[in-house]
Amino acid sequence: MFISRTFAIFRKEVRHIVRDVRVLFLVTLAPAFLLLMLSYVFSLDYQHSKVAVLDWDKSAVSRDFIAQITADGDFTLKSYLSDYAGAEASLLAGDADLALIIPRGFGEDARAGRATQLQALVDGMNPLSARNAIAQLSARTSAFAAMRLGQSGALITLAKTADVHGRAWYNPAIKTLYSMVPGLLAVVMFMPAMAFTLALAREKETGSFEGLIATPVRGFEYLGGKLLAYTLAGMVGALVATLVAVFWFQVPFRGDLGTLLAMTALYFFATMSAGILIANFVTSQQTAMTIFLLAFFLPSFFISGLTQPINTTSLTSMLTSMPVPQTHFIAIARAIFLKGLGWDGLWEPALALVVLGSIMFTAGMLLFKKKVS
Amino acid sequence: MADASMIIETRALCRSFGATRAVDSLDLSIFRGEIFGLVGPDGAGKTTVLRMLAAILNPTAGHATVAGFDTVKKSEAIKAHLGYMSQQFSLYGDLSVLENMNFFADIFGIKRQARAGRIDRLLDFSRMRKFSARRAAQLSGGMQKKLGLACTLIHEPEILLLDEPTTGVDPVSRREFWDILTELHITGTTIVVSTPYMDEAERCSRVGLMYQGRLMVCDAPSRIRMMVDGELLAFRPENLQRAAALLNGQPGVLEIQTYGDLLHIFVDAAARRGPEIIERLAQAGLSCAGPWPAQPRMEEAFISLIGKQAGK
Repeated sequence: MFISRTFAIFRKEVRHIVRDVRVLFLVTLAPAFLLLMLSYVFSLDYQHSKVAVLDWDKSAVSRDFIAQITADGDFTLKSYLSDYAGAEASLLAGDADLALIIPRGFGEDARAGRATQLQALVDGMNPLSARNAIAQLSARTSAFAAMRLGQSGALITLAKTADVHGRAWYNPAIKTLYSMVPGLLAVVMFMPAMAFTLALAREKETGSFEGLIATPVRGFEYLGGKLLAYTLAGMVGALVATLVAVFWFQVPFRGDLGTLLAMTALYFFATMSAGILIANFVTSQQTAMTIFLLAFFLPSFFISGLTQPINTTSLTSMLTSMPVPQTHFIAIARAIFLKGLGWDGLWEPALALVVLGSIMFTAGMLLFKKKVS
Repeated sequence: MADASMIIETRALCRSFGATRAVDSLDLSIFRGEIFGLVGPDGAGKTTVLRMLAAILNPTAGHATVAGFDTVKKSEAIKAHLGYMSQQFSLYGDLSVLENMNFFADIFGIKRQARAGRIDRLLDFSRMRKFSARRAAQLSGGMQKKLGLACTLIHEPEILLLDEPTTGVDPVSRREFWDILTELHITGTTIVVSTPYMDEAERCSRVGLMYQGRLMVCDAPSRIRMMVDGELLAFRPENLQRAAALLNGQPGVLEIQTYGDLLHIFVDAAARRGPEIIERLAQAGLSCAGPWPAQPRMEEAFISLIGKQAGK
């Protein structure tokens, strides 16, 4: 009885999803679209930096160095300068985002293994992109010292930058895109859960809920069947978005697709359970969507570790970020993409999703009433 | 239960929404096999009563028993015995007629063997066979109501609760719908139906008249018709409004209702007051055809009873 009624709800729900183009889009394609948009918005270093170079050294090493940092196209060599005034002028005029000054004797010092310094002038109008450019430049500088000269990565330093990076293991080029896209993938996967919440509200809005609660169907069967249908449809969405991340953004995928999809299912369980909780209190799709966006979409960017790491020493920051499913799924998605971790390395955030989901699902079930409001 | 044949019973049933009393101390007894009509103007509390009987709304005071189960404590036990059709179209517009019926058959756990025959019969019964593959949203209003009824009948419930099933439906479909209800009545199904239409109320075995949350009268239509004081005379004056104004307060005139181009006047004694009324109108220079003796219908009785209640 329980299985067959759950299946009846499931089948009806799948028909709704497939037949309603808007819902179908929301669940299967919208996450990928949102991922495309947000990735460009959030990946600052994807925009190229224009570089003006003042080369006092004019040695083979300095020319090699310039060729090396501009090799992958993220830095475009804009002009060669003849003096400091030119550097300042080109930054002011916006001809260059970054002026690189190579001191006399740079090549000799570097080859001899003597510590040497480069100077970088950055347009500070946009601190974020300035910091980004510096970070990328210092990463390339270390890489150059290590690979071209066979010296320690710390040999060449950038003047006036405190944060010289060591070699980043999982993201060698420190492209924010690589860590941003998997994080955003986690963020955009809230959409199937939103569609699910809207479907719950829609039954109330159209009146079909009133007919349904006058039948022997139990809350568990009704919500369970719906949840299964949207989880399944959401998997399609997750797959499409993952393909976009891997083939469009070329983010390295070091993990296992099956693990990612299984984790996505856990994430759906947690977010859809929150949807069940929300849907108990609303009778219109409009309200459901507003609450869902405010409670899920917005916090994703601020407290879930997407844009800056969670401060694990601050109680407040832990208390706000841990109850949010995105926090755990962002960590999972990044770890699967960039580190290739499997279940043994991910059981903690996975367990967090299960626990959060179970709490909200239970609360949602307890509050669910087969009554008209 | 007080009476073995009683299938629905409410005692001092109340439901408030904030400060509004939607249903006020309702005592109702409905017997097995009846077609019971709940009539009353909009906002009288009919929908609230039906929702409480369907166990999808809890009363704020009092209690109700349906098919022997308390609607609050045993709300889920009731639902297998019940077919409830809300006022709003409550099926799935993007599912076909057949898919909707199969869905409810699944929900009620109708076994495969029984199902095919039953759906077949319901399609014939509701005259929907031709449309079985059509999406429910593409059906006319009347057909949607019939599909709704077919879906509530899929588990052959003992009790049917229908909330204004014919509101907004064309007269032909309305008649057809009531023919179906009559067939169900004959097979012994207990039907509680709310309606704003008096001709439908006449087709019920008993009628409960609701007004402002209270049950004013509850009896067979023929007896409700008799409850109106006095005798009814019909007139056709040349100026309806002026005539009505003139006759208001005339000795022996109990109540005046306009009806198309007719005046329906309840008087204490028809033989004496008829000519008096004609004379009064003639004095004022108004010619008037009639009087004709008339049978009070539910409509007149209804308006008269409500008028009295409102005047209190």
